[in-house]
Amino acid sequence: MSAGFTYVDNVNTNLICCICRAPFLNPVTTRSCAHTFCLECIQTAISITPQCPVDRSTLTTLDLRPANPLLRNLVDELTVECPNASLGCTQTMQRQLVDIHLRDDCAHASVPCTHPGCERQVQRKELGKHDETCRRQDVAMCPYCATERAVEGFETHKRICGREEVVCPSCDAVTIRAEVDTHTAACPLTVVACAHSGNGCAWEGARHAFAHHIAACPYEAIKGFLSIHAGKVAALESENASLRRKVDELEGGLRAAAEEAQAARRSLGPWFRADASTSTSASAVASPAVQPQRPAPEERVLRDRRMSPLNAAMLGVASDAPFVPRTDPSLDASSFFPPFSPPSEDASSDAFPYGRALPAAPSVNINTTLEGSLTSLRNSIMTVSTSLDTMSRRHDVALMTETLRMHEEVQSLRAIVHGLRMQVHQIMMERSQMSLSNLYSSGQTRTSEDGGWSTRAEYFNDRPSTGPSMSVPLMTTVRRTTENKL
Amino acid sequence: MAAIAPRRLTKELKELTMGECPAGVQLLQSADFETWVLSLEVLGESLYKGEVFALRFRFEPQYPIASPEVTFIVDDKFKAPIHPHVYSNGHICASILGHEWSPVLGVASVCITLQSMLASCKKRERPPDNDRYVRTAPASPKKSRFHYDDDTV
Repeated sequence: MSAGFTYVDNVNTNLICCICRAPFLNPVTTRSCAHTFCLECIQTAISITPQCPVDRSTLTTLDLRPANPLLRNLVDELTVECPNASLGCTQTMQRQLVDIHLRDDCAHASVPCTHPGCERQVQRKELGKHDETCRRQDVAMCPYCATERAVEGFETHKRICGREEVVCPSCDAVTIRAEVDTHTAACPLTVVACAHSGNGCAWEGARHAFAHHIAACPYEAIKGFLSIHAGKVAALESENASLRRKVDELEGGLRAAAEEAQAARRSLGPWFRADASTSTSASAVASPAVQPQRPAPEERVLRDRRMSPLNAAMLGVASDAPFVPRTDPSLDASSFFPPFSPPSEDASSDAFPYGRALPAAPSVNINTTLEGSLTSLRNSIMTVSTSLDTMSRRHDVALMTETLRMHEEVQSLRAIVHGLRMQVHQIMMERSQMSLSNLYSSGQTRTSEDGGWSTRAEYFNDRPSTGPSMSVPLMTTVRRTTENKL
Repeated sequence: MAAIAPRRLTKELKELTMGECPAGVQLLQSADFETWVLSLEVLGESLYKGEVFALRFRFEPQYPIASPEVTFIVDDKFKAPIHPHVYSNGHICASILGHEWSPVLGVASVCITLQSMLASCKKRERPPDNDRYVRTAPASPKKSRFHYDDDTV
């Protein structure tokens, strides 16, 4: 039982379930060991562990039987607070009477409104107050349609009730609302306009007078013509509308095409010509129109042509393309590279044959078609790659020649140095001879002189100094560098 | 039945705070109906005289049908008692916390049982398989399958 009661008095501990620690609710006693629990408590406990929670003896639900009536009465008669105490009910009662109290007495129990159709649950003490406001309690009889309606919404119904009687504003006849429209359509006193009001007839009058008017109406006479005319006008209007639509579409298409052409012109750049399909002579005629806009690339191209023999070679290839005009005479005059000079003894004079300025940008002939230019560019690239190849081979040869020359030079230098060393050696020998002869002449100074020479000798090998000793370290350095090179 | 846990714990809390707390046991924390902390002291002559331990109770919604998870707290302030049935991570090997749990038991009765378990101890030592168990122990001792082999203490 999940409804927790609040007990007013302290309950005897013998009446407390040892599982939920609350007074027994629907107590049961075990047949085997005579322990008492709430029915729900012991059922849950057995479903987990089939033994008595107190003494652990085996237990099943079959061993449970209702507790002694005496015990049941004791716990049922315990005084508890009303379960609605939190809502304000202050009553206390026996536990077994709680249900009756809630059902019949408790002012705070929620009960449904007695009126049919009202779904609200109200506390019992609020029921009288709710009754006053409950719009469901009254029904009113609609005087027109003779049905019962709740007061709530009655006014709205009355305004739209189809059975209400209304008076025709024209003929004072009384009809019900649902038939007003049919009456108005037939009422002889209702003011109607002439059937030809659309064509300009200004007549207005009661319906019964209309027949009289139509006989005299001038528009009635030309009724046939008017209808034909109206049909024609409608046809023309629809045609006009469709034409206007078509014009709009065409304008849009034209604008898009123009934008596309503009974009193409931008992306084509210098290759764009007003008339791309014409031949060379035509383009020469057309070119003045383009030239003032972009004179710079043309000029630069011509300058490049004159400057570089490589470019001249490239243009020589490009001139095979069908549309290249041979405008520049210097172009024909300058041919391919001059033949490479064979490696020779005076190669040093030709040390930088590739030092000529090579323009970075390939020249472009904008007088040809785009396709022609692309072909010529492709050919140019091929030429460039060939000439690069040749250049690198030539460079190799030149390097080899230079190296051989250097080698020879080093050899001759080594010979010179060797001669110098021999001379120095000779001088030193002479000096030594002289000092020896001096030694023989004066024996006292011998020691000091000897020591002095030995230090000098060390000094030579160490680093360059003043005097004739200079040549010795210099020579060794030169030899080392040349050996490294070779 | 899930509603029984809070009501039963309310009752137990009332009993513990109304002065019916077992001697040597003190309620340290009972803010909710999920985790309670109680201090435990062994009174009288015992190996653990003067030592204060702390027990952490964790209750499931099925309490008291399901047993609570009870461990000694091991932190800066409290240590687990050195006892043959208490692992160094605070887990307790006691049958009443495992398959011998009964709904009639409660927080107070568990505390008294553990007090008695500590008081009857003759020798301060860890369980023989302490290291192996602590290395592999699950977070909740309710997930370990203890083998209850000693009923002397």
